[in-house]
Amino acid sequence: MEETQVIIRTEQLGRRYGAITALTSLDLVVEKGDWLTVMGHSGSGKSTLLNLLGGLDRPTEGTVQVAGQDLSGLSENELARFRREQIGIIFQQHHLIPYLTALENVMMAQYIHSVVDEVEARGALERVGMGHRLRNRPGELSGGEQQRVCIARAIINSPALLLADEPTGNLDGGATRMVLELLRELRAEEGFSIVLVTHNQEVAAWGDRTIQMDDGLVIRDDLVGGTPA
Amino acid sequence: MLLLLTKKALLSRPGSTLLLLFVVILGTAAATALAGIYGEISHKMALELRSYGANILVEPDSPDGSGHLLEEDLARIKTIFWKHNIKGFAPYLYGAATVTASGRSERAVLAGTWFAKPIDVPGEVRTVQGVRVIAPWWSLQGGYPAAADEAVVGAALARRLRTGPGGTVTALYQGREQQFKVVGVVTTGGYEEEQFFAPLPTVQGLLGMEGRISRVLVSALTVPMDAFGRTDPQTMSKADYEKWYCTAYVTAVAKNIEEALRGSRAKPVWQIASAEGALLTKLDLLMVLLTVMAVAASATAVSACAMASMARRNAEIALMKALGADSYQIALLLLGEIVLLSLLGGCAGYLLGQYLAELVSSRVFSSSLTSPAWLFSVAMVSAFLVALLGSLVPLRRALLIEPVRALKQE
Amino acid sequence: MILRSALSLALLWGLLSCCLLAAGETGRLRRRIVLAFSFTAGAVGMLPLLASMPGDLPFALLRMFIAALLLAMVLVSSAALLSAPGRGVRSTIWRERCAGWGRKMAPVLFPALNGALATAILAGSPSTSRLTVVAVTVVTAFLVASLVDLLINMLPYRPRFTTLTLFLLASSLLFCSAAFSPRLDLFAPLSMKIMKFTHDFLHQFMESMLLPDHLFINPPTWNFVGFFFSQEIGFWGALLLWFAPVLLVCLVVSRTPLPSVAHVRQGARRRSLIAAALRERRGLLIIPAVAALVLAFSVYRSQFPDVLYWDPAPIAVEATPAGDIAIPLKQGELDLRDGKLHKFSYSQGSTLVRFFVLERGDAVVVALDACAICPPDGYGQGEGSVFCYYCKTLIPLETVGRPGGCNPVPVPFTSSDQTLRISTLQLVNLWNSTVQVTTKNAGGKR
Repeated sequence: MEETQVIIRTEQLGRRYGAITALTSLDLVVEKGDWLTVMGHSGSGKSTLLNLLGGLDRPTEGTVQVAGQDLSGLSENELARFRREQIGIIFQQHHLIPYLTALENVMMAQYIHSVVDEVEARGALERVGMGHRLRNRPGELSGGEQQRVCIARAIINSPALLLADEPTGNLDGGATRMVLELLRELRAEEGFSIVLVTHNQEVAAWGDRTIQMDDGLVIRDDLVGGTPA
Repeated sequence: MLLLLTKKALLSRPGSTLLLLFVVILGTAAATALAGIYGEISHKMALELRSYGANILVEPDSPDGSGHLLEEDLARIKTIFWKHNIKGFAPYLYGAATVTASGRSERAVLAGTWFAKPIDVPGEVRTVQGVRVIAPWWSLQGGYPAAADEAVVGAALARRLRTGPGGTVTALYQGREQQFKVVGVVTTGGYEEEQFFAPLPTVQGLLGMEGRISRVLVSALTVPMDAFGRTDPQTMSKADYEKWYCTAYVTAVAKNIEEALRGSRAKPVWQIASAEGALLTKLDLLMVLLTVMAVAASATAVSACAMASMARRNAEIALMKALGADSYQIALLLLGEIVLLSLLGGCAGYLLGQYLAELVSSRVFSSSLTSPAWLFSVAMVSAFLVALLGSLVPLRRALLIEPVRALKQE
Repeated sequence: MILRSALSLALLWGLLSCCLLAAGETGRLRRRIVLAFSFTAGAVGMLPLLASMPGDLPFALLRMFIAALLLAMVLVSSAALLSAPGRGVRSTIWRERCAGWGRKMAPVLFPALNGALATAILAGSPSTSRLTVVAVTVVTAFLVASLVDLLINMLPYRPRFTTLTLFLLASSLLFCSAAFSPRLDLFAPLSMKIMKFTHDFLHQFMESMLLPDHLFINPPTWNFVGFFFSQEIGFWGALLLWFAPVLLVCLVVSRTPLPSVAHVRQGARRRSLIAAALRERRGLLIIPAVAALVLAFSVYRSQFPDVLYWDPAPIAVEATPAGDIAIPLKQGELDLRDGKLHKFSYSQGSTLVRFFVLERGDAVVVALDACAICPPDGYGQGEGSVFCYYCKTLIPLETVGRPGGCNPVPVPFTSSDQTLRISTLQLVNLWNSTVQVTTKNAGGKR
């Protein structure tokens, strides 16, 4: 496999919180453009994995490389820079700033990245189908709409990797499908990779590859196939 | 965008913003008012102390304080080496007499003095000397005596005698009697209020001590005392003595006067000579302390307010961090709010502080305040200090927020 | 007092060499030598000037140089603003050439001027030994220049200079040094000149338009017009001119065009490029900001000088064949009746007589620059008094002209049709007899 085609490479990755082990010796390689779904119960280590990939947390063992950068060697501010340039994040609870409009929420991500460009931010919201609700605050939007603003915010800085933590956890069936379809379209256009955490089998079906986690271990990987003991 | 974010963030929590603003305004107002009042009183104090004048006391050179100086020598003060540094002087002749007014009788100190007497010394310009020159702080109800039988009564004595301007007082001394017309009542806040002041020749006649005086108060322009000035002239080398003598230290001037008045001993009145420096230093310290405390107190209050509002913003800051904001950006964002608040608070605090200072000044010092221009910069700086000092701890907290944990808590 | 100004000057010189060294790219050691050498040349070169020219002339000359620098800065920065990039190839070539010249010139020009300033300030008063001062100054200059080099290497962040910002900061540091001496300070005479100019201009304008001023102009308008005749106009006008280079350079920097990003397809990449350009532009504004601070400080210095007293340099005067010294009460800028101390010196044979003319109240007084008791250190003028430099005694202004105490010894003079006449015979005799006594008095203990 060509190294330039790899977006994520972890070696013996582990994270321990005191006595609790959240993740142990994970070896994972994800190709560019892939859609990886991580499944498992709550407490199975899938959120820990996501945080480690997004540079929000530091491993206690092993290394993690994202987009060619070894995250363990970066300082706090370098990690922040890595996040704003390489990572887009979508949360289950959306985490939109309540006193800013949809447009301003997207522009804030631009501001953190570099400078604001209102035309571009407007374009991004139109692409996720929110062009008609630019001036609305999050409180005035439905869950699905909020998640679409969230997606616009995540992709505005052209990340290499999109991390989605239960993006459909709070949505009904229709909205879920809409969000996932949007993600698929955007991935085709922009070429970013997706790591999506969910415990919903249906949602997992949208990805190219699924890994199943339990107790900080990968217990099933599509790519390898079968179910390890 | 920074401005927009700041504005919206502030407006999204109007309550805590207003509270913060209020605290900043209070702190600034306190600092401004204190600084304004301080500038005013130190100015007034300096003026007053400078006009306090008399810093050398000349008495007869006898161990028990008895004996007298000669009035005819007085003009010599204007011929001494330091004559140009003598701003004024006034002779006094004291005697204990019985004064009677409207049937009431009191033992009182009868003081003969010059009120404003022109002095002519050959070769010198005519000057006016007397109480009016060296004690300009006398607050007089009525006027100064012009004729030989007119007098000024100290306020306390006048109260006891139930007399005032226009009244008549009779002074009795060893069988001799003299009638005075009261033309003024003097309030000084000192021992003068117990005394009875009359023109020197009249008192000399009454006491039977023509041409004699008990003491002279001299007001001289002097050089502040330093280490060299404090050394004992007796121990100096000739050259040093020359220099000491030709430096207008208060001691040197006093020595000079002593040589001019026969049988006299002149000593600096240290309390007044050094009062200005000491008092102003103390005042300085007090005011600086008060101002620092005002700033510190409001900074603490700001800190508490900011801490509370920061707690509510935890998630926001965590989100920004998750989106890739580094510590500079977070600090900039939070400091932007602080700067905006301190700008607003500084302006409002300045106005309020000035008003307060004026109020205090007119109530306490019964004088109107002319606020100097530098007060505005004091206000702005203290507002900024209050806001900045108050935000340091919350800012540190904000920078330590871990995005993962803070976002999970929602 | 002299120690304090020496320390401040050393600090300013340190800053100057700091910015000149930081702006250079190569040959650190060579640059340092050039800097120190130019400084020494300036400092030593000022000496003969001080020695050969009478009174305030060398100071006026130096001040003229500095004033020319200010004017040049205003002109250059406006030119830079007008010939902003993108105005054609020729203007670009010109800019490059000027910048190259400037870079070559700066390390010589500024240290030399600064050296001259230091000598003038420190050795300008008559009572100090010039050679010692210059020697100490030069040694300090070398020390500071080498120390600064060490410090620069320790800086975590190296500010970026363009030729324009380098000139801006260096010249503001120079103005700041000049503000340490009332005789070299630029800001005060600048505001004076501006006030005079507006006044004269308006006056002439009104006259030439044959406007009868008070008839048609109602009081509010007159108040408005009055502003242009007031002291304030000088101050604000000078302030405007003073900060004009900084403002213009800031404008030049902020007008630097952002890179063209239209060809970059990805929005985030486009924004990154713009953000980087903005960051760089902001970095270029640091130097003008520092320069503005330095300039503000020098205005403060000029308005509230450390030296609260007035200590003019003596102006040398000659005697007429008849043996008189004649000094007109008013001649050019010199006005003896302005209430300030005016010192003169007259030499006859080996004796150099110093005396001063002062108007107190309504009468003009002539007195020796010495008193009957102290060694002849001379007098300075403070608020409402003059004081003896030797014993620091304040002498009330009203009593100047009368003998006695530490008062200056009065000199008899006659005055007729706006001219003071002093007999040299009397003057020299008086000086000799006074100084003989007082020098003996001091017992050689100076």
